Amino acid sequence: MSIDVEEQYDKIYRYCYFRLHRRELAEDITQETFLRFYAQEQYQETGKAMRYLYTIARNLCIDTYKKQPDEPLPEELEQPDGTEAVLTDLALQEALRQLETEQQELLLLRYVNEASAADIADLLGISRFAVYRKTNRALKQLRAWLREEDFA
Amino acid sequence: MRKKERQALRRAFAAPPAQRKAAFLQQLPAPTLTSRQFVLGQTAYIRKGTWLASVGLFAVAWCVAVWLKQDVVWLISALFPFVAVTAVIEGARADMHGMTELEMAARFSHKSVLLARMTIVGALHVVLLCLLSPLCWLHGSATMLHTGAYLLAPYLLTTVLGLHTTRKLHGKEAGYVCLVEAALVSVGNLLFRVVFSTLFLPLYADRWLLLCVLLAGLTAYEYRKQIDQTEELVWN
Repeated sequence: MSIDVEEQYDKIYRYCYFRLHRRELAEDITQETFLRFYAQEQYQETGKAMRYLYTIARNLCIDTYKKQPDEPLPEELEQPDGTEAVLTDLALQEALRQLETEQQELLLLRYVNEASAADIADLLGISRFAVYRKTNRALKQLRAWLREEDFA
Repeated sequence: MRKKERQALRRAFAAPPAQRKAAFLQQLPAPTLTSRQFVLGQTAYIRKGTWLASVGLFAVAWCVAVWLKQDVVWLISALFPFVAVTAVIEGARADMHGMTELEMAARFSHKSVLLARMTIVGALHVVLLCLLSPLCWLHGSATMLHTGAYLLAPYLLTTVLGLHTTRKLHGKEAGYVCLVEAALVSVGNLLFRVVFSTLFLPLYADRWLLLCVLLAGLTAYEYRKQIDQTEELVWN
């Protein structure tokens, strides 16, 4: 396999943590994702490994969430220590919570995990044009909210 | 998106450090790869020029034989050495760019990669020969088998010379020398046709087949020596 496994592990783990908000569970799902990916025989190395990994991870997260709908409130995110950007980060996190889950997912995949628009489109079952449109809309809403709070 | 915004988003979406990552990755089984998958995977690493040379030659043959309706065997036999040299250079690419040691440290052995790529390019040229022979036979006077021999002989001669050169010379000079050899074989082939035209009569056709068999044997010998040389590098 040509992917850098360690780097991709971090991305899938980050994605699972976003979906599940629990570290232990996110790690379990991440590892299950990789085991299932390696176990399947029909994948031919065509440069689409991340697309498969995200799809497996997403499905596992959805299944896990369905099985455990009454889970306690999610863990608080760890706060950055003693940086000047602490307030900005808190405001950004609050602004992100104002967005829809799909919008948050788009921002995570596109700008944090640096997934391609094609991979995101395939994962979410939308067109690439829709990926660009929804991502831009999410960014606009985020910036508008931050401007309202004077944190732009 | 501005760099600061991206960094802020990364912090906002940051997850707590994974506790079991190192242990898991250590015991993760290495993915298996069948021989077929490996060989087909090497196709992507063969340079576009190698493919284009073959396609280009076929296009020329098609244009001359089908549209212009001319005897094309001598033109194609003069151009075929340049297609042969693309195969030789493809096999010697690592050595020409000083990357042999790095490739030996890669996941797949240099020998396996070399064999895979030579197999792919060799198969491509066999297909090309099978397509060119009927085209060249269309307006020629020889049988299709003998037409194939007229095409194959300069190809094999160029391959033998090129493989020998790349074994003895290293670096980019080997590539330049191979190109010169291809040019000499190409021009020599045309001159030979003019000066010794009687050797291309049906009377001598079987001798051309014999020559092709001899050159094929020499080609196999040179390929074997080149593969052996990669094994010697490992020991060194």
